Amino acid sequence: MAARLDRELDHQYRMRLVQAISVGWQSLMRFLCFAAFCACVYFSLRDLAGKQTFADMKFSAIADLKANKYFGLILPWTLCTVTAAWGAGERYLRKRHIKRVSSESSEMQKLLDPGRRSSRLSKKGETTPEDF
Amino acid sequence: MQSSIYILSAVGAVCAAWFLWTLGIKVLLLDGMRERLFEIRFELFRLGMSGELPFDNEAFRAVETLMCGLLRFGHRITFLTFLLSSLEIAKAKKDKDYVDVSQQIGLKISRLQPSTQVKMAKILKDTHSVVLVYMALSSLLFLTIMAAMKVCKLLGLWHSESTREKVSHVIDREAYLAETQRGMRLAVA
Repeated sequence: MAARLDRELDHQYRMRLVQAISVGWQSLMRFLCFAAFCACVYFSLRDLAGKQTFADMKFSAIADLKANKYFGLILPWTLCTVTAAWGAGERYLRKRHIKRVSSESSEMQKLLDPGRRSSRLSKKGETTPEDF
Repeated sequence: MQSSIYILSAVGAVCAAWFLWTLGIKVLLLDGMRERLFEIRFELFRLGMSGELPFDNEAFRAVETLMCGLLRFGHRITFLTFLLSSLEIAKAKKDKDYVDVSQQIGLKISRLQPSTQVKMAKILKDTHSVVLVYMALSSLLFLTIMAAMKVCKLLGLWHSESTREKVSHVIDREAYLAETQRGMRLAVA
């Protein structure tokens, strides 16, 4: 019994260690990405500072579109916004559907199999905070 | 100066793409994997419901525990955690009390009727495929290795089945043990 407990504690410790390294690595990558992005903005602004002519020339070139302004600017942004809203709406509906169906399904399965295990995910099918 | 702005813009774009990947697409992949695992778990449940495999059968319970572990700890399955777990398992194998979870599950399944064995083997194979595909898609390095292995397999230089089994054994063990310990904690509580 004591040996079994030791093994379980050892496994829990190992899993915590592995998870800590993994989460640490991911956090470091996110931080580095964010720092690189900020550095990009900083260096770009520093390079452009005091060189208005060049910047003006570049922006004028971009603005001097042959296509209709409304067609060239408003349409892409509208499409982008509509697509993003559509994606977010679909996700919201999917989560709501999962919440409803999973509750019904698990309750019915429990009637047939009282010893049924649960995945312990949230009702919307997401990881619970204690498992992160 | 012009080229430096282009380089910096490219770096910025790569960082933005990486953020989109980790905070958006990867979450979608995880949801996709869980959805597929839920489907497979329901196939297992249907086996129990039909009476072909009783709910209290140890093979049923073992596979159910494994699937619950994979569902619950699916977010932890990455190439990095796989590598670290492999190293830890290599150390644990030296222990005389080492338990091979996949082997135990296989043994429990081998005691079933031949037709049920085939169905259970399919359920396990599908489960492993789903997890491996998720792991490959969520890690560029692992995806590259998998692609290289596929090419080697096509050329007859590599037998990917044994590698696939080894990878699945590591994931199975971690998910199963984590889920079993959680079950024990709940029982004590």
